[in-house]
Amino acid sequence: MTVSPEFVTSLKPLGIFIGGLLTLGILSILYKENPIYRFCEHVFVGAAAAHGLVTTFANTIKPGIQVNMMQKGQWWELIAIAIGLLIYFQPFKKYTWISRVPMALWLGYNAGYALTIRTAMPLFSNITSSFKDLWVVTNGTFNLQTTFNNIVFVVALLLTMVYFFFSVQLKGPLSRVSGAARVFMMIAFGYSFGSTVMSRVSLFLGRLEYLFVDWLHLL
Amino acid sequence: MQSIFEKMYQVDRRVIYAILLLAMAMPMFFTLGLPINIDVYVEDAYKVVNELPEGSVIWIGCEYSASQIAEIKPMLQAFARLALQKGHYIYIGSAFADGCTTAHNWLQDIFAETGAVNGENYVIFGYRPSFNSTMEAVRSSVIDAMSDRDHYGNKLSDKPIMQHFEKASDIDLVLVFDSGSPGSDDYIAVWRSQGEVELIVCGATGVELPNQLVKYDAGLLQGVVGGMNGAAQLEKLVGVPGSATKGMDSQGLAHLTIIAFMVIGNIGYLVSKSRNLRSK
Repeated sequence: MTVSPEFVTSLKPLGIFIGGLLTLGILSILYKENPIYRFCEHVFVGAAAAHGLVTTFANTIKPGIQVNMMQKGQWWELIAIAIGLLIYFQPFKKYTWISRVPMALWLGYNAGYALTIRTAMPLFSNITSSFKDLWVVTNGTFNLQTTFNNIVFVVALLLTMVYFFFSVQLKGPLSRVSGAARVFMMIAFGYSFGSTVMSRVSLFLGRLEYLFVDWLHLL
Repeated sequence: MQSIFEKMYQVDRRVIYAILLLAMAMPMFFTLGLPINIDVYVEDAYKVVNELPEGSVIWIGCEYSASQIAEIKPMLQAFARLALQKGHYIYIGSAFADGCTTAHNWLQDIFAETGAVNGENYVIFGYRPSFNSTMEAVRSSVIDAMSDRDHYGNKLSDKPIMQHFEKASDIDLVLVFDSGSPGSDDYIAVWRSQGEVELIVCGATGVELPNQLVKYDAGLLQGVVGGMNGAAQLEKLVGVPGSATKGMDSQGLAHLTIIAFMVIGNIGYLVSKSRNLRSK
C-alpha cells in the first residue's frame, strides 16, 4: 500500500497537536515522577526505535538487496548477512556462544581500524599543536595576549601530564604540582560543564519554540 | 525554623524551574536584542565556505538527532543557504537514523528560497549505519557506497549532480554537524588522515564545543560553530537572522538566572555554615 504525500501533509496538524501534548507530558517530570511522563517516555522510545528500523530497511537493506544483489549480482554479501544474523542466537542459552561470533568479528575489525586510522593523525596533530611559541611577535610587534595564552597553555599541559604520571608517587614538591594541575583541570571541567548547561538550555528553548510557535501559534 | 540563609540554598527545584521558564519565555515575546559578538573560530568557519570557488563539492554530515533542533537547525540552515547561494553542490549524508529526515524537513525553506533543485544542486543520501565502512567505501565510489539509491529510494546515477562527485577525493569541504559519536572524529580519521579531504568545518552542539575546539587548535578542523551562540554568530555573518539570533535573548536571561541562583545559594550556604560553626 502506498501512502500519498497529500495524505501525509494533511496529517501534519494532528502530528503537531500530539507532539505538543507529548512535550508537556515529558516536561511534567520537572514537577514530579508521574504516569503521564512514563507513558510519553515509552511512546518516544517506541517511535524512535520504529523510525530507526524503517529507515535502516529503506536506506540500507532494501537497496542492498535490490541493487547490490539482484542487479549487480553481488550475492557474496549474503555471507555477511548470514554472519550478522548469528547474533539472534543470543536468547537461546545453549547456543549463545554462536552470537559472539559476529560480535568478535565486529570488535576485531573496529579495534584494528581504530589503532591504525583513528590514532595516528589526531594524536600527532595534538602533540605538534602543543609546541607553542612562548614569545609571539606579530607583524614585528610583541603580541602580549597570544604570548600569555601560550604560556598558560604550556604550563597547564605540563602540569596535567605530570598529574597523570603514575610511576612516581606525587609527594613533596610534586604534590604541589599535582595540586596546581587539579586547579587547571577544574577550570577545564568548569568550561565543559558551562557548555553543557548552555546546550541543555538550548534544548529546552527548542521545545518552548515548538510549543509557542508550532503548537499554540502565539508567535 | 529555617533562617533566611538556609532558605537561600534550599530553594525548591520547582521554583527554580518556574523562574527559569519565565526568564526564557519572556524574551520570546519581548525582544531584548542582546549583542552578539563573533568568535574567531566561527568567523573561520564562515570564511571557509564563503571563499570556496563556485561549484565546489560540499559533503554535509548530519550527525545529530532531532532533539538538537534548537542548536543545529539554525547553523545547518545558515550554512546551506550560504553554500547554495555561492553555487556549491551539497551532498547530505548521516550516520544517525533521524539525521537526513530532519535535514529534509529543516532545509525545505532554504531549497525553495535559493531555487535549489533535488538532483541538480543538492542530494540527500540518507541514513547509513556502520558509517566508517560507508565512508571507506566512498573513497572508491560514492554511488556504490550508497547502493545507487538516495534517501527517497531514487537512483543516484541518474542525477546530474553526481557528475561532480565520484569519490571522496572530489570533496572540497566537509561540513559536519556533530553531537557526539559518530562525528567529526570519524571524518578526520577516515577522510582527512588518508588524504581525501583537506577542509573540515564543524557545527557542534554546546556539549561538544570544548572537544571540537581542541581539534580546531590542532588544525584538524578549519572552523567551528558551537551551540546556539555559534549559530547566532553565523546567522549574523550570513546576514539572515533566524531562530538562533532570536533564541540568544532567552539564552542570555537563562544564564543570568542560573548565575543568580548559584550566587544566592552559595551565599546562603557559606553564611549558614559559618553561623553554625560559631554557635558550636
